[in-house]
Amino acid sequence: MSEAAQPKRISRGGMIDRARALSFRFDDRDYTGYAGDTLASALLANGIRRVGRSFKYHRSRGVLTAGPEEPNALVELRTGDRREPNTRATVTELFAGLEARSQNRWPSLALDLGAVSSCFSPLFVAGFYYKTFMWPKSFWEKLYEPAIRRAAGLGRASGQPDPDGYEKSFGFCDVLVIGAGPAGLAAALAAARRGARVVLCEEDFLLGGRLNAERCSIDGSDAVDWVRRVEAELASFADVRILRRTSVFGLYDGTAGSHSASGTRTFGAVERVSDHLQQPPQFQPRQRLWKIVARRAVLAAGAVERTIAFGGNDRPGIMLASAVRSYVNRFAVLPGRRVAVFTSTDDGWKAAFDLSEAGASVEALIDARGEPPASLIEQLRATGARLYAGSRVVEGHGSAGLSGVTIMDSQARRTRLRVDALAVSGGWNPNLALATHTGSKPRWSERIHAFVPDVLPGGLAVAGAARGALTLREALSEGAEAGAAAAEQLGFSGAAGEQWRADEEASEVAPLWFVGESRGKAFVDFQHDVTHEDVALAAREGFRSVEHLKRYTTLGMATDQGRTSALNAHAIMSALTGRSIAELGTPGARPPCTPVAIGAFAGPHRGRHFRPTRRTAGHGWAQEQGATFIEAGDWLRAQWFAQPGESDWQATVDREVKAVRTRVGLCDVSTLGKVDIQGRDAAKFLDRVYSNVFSTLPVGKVRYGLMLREDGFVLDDGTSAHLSPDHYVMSTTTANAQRVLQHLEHARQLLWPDLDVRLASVTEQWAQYAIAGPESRRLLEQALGDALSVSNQAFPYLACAEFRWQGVPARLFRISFSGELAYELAVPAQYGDAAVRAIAAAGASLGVVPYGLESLNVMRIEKGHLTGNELNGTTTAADLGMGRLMSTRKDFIGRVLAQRPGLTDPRRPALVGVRPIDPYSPVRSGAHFLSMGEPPTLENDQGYVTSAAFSPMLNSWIALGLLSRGRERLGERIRIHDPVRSGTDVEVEVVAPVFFDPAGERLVT
Amino acid sequence: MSHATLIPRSALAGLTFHSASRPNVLAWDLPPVSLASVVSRRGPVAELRRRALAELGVALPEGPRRVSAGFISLVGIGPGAWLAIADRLDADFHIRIGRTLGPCASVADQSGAHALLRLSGAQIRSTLGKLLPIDLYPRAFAVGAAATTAAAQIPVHLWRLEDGTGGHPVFEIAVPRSLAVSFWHALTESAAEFGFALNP
Amino acid sequence: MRIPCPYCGERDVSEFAYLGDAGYVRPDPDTADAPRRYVEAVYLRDNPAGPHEELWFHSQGCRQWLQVRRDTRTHEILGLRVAGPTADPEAG
Repeated sequence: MSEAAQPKRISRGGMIDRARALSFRFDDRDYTGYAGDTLASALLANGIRRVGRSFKYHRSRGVLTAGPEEPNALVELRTGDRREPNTRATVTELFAGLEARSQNRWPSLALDLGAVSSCFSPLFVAGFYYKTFMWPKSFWEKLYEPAIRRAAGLGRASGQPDPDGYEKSFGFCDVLVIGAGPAGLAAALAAARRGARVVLCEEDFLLGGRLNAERCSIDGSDAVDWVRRVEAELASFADVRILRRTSVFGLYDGTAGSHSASGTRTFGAVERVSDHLQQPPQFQPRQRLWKIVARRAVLAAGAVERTIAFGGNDRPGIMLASAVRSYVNRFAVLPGRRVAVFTSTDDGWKAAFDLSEAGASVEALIDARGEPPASLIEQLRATGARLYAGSRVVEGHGSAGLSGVTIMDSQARRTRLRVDALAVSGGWNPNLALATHTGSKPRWSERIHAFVPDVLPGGLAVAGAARGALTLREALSEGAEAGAAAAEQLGFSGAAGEQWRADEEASEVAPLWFVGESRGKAFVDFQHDVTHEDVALAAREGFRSVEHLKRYTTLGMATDQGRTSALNAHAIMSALTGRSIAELGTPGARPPCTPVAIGAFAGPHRGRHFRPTRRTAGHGWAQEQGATFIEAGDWLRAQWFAQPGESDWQATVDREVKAVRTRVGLCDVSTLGKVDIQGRDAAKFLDRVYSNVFSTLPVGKVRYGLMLREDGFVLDDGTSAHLSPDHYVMSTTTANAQRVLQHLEHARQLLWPDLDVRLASVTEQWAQYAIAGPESRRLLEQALGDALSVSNQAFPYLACAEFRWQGVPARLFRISFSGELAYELAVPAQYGDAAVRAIAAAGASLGVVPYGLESLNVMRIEKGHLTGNELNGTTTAADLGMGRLMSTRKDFIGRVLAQRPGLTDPRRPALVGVRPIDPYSPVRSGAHFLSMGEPPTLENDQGYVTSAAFSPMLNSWIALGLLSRGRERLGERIRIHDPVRSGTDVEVEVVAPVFFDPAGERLVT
Repeated sequence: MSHATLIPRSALAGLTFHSASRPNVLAWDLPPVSLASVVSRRGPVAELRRRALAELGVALPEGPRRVSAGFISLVGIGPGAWLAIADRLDADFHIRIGRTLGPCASVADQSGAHALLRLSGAQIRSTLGKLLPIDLYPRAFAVGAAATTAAAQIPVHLWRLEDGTGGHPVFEIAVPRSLAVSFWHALTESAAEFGFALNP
Repeated sequence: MRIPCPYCGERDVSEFAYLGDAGYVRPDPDTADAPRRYVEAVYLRDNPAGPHEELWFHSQGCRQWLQVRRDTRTHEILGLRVAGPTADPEAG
């Protein structure tokens, strides 16, 4: 591509690769840039100054910065399902085929109908959300909110699932260095040379920081050469990891104090692995989220230049002076042909020198200070620029792009200059957010007129511009010192020699925040369109603290967090209220300090990998049997096993239930929690953690137990089997397995450490299968053969045994959740797959059916057995009709508080059964009980349905529920109210909560 | 009586993966062995240590470490708690250890509770760095070190063996059997960029 | 936040489960004022802004209950020991 295609490209120099031209699209037009460009530099090279419209007033906006602090140049990047809104063009690396669109304009960037809102701008002043649209109230939802949402807001998300992957990684190091400018490079090298394990994070794709944007030298040669040498040396250390394109966005609470290696901190960082590519390469994520644990850290994140608030300071073509230098020196782009510089700092003058060197015509240097340094004035002479000392810019002209500025000189004379670019330098704000994430407040520096870090979190040091030391010489020496100190504090030592020579430089900063003589809007927050007038209004209305100012005007609440201009607003507030900026303070900062995609936080944990899924050993077998699986807690469990020809799941479940109740069924119950309990005091321990007595349970028997919390409510239920003297195995519900084990360990370790009892989770060890139904004994006889006698006499109801089955350790329990004659057979999980196949084979001639969670649920409701629906943390043993399981002969957890009046109140909801008068009227859990004829109000609420199912045995809907004074109301007709799902109430009869085989005869036969 | 035979099955049987071609991460699905949890009973551990040394020929590791002697290795998984690993599948393993250690320890069979994987390769640390919130740096996690932690939200025991051929570190990881498929997914996804091979 | 487990070493907070005030002592259930004392023990806990003795369970590690002295304002760990009356106060 010819240079003519990039009219603003300087013909030589820069850190771009002119051999690698890259074509890209912006707003449906094709352009060309070079490898090494950002989207912003490539747009500027192509002469594009206007890149977007502002948030509220839809004013034309251009590139303000050359870094991550950019408030204006936000674009929609990529297309289709990869479209990403609000991407900062200033940090978007150019790649071949990049497609970007400007945001917040309609129908086009040049003609934006929304710009009329500028005419109505009085509507959009600070606090407009709270004031303008308050009346009439009904208009808010229907009119105001939709209209505001359409007009305001920035880019559009893709609205589709993100096709790319995100990853997480943990990193550990001795010294984390944040930022690879001169201070960071010096720190990393000093730490690495002493033998420390170093991680160096740099947001940019190049190391070097400002050295890439400035013309300066170290040890007499070009500073960029020094960067390459340091980079090469760092790469030679095995224990140094350099993470490019990586933003450290948060410092999190660490450990400190006497009990740990004081100073270890956790940092969050995001590595943009593939953002600079069209799409991620195979097996690569788009981004990687790092959790970095560092024993020491050096913050060398540099500083961000700030603007000066003057009328029209947002015109495209007005840029921070440091950004101008970046575009000229690093990207070989000339932001303008006829340019001016407006500064209150020595540093700003460098922009004039660099622009002139690059071939621009520098029309004027406007310094707000009356007497700038003579050395700078001398140097300016060569550029031919006219010096306006003691002067300021009062207005920027040109709504589509800067066409000129009006300046007011020291004699208050106004002059209009024709320029197409203006470099603005208002001083530097250290990037100190990370130093304040744990709550420490920064301190005001009268030297650089900015906040600088004050009390630092333990383990963190700050060096260079991030600390307010703005010269290269200081950056190098402070960086080297901080890196060496961090390593030495950890016991590393060794060669020094980090002494580099850099030239003296003028670095005076005079405060100039706001040009009082401004005409037009002077912006103090470009991204949120906050002006100096909004600050004045906030002051008048009493929102004078920085935190109130922020919330009332939305100052600094956009994605750039006001890094280039919020301090100007604070200074205006300070002047208006007669308090110093130091007194006013600065709002607290919280992570992340740079925008991080939600996808990066989620990492690989999304969709069906949102969390790990547990599968039983019989999973493959169940799949072969046609199981439909459902997530039950962490587990995948078979919900039912549909057979060809079955019309719906209800038909399947009806068949499964009938098969179990008439023949025999097979169900995987491995998911129940299992705890191995051993010790001389095991029985005593069980007595204390269960409400009922276990010390009377003989070896070879199982008992149902109820466990309470100390507050008297039920925690869980299950069984414990006495396998051998001092040895029990406890079962818990699937959902509560973890919680119960933690509860038991708490009781064992803290409440009764004197007991000789030890716990081990054996949930994973045993694959366990329920074999239920009248033919279950015959099935077991066929499966086990001589391994164990299961006759009713040898192995009665609630018996248990350990035995060998084909040499494999096995356990059998005669327990039943279905209410049928039933057994649970357990084998070590590696035999689970073989065992379930053996059981199924043994039962084939008996017509055994596999059954799932849904049939299990129907049968347990038929029997009035409980699950998490009833054991929901708000029910007592008495509520559930299990008051008899509250032993009066012993102490147990929950005993005392279960007796308090609130929990023994007879009006409490108690467990009942209900049956609809019309057996086919569906009842749903969650529906509420009401007395007949009473209106559905909260006061009339009588309780609710906890579990409901259609019972194929009773040929009717049945349900369990918690009904106020329930036990006194058997036989009463009430109604259930379910306005959300069904609309019409269902009349039901209150019955005992056992619908099937109430005498339990089937269990014992 | 049924003639079905009970044979053990690996929790990782039949699983697949996709990765870059040249394998820099290697995994071996270890053949089934017996495992048992060993927890010291209330009271001093000295007698338990004495018996372990005398009867099993193994000094119980203090702290999270792995020691190996003859047919048994022991991994420290908590204060007074170890995972005992046999060199083969032996239905009586936990019973024999239980008898040997007598009333000094509670022993429970855990042979079916874990999927055991051996991991190595040039990029194994980078791979595990995506899964484990602990530092596997050579100085921080030396040969013989062990840890109980969570890998991609999955509770695991991990220990480091002697370096393998090529000088690459070798780790073994015990994953709860029910979570083996989820762990496999996390492992192979993390290793994909480096290249992965199973039982090479 | 990282917690220096005396058995496992320093670990990320995500491996731990939080219970709360370590000052909890289970009252004697057989005294006349047991109900009042239980209510106080179960429900009436201090919630200081500053150093706080609290219980953490290393659920993803060694399964020990730890007593951690933590500054609730800064999450600084000021001290730590194995929880429970018989715990060795020098542990860790």
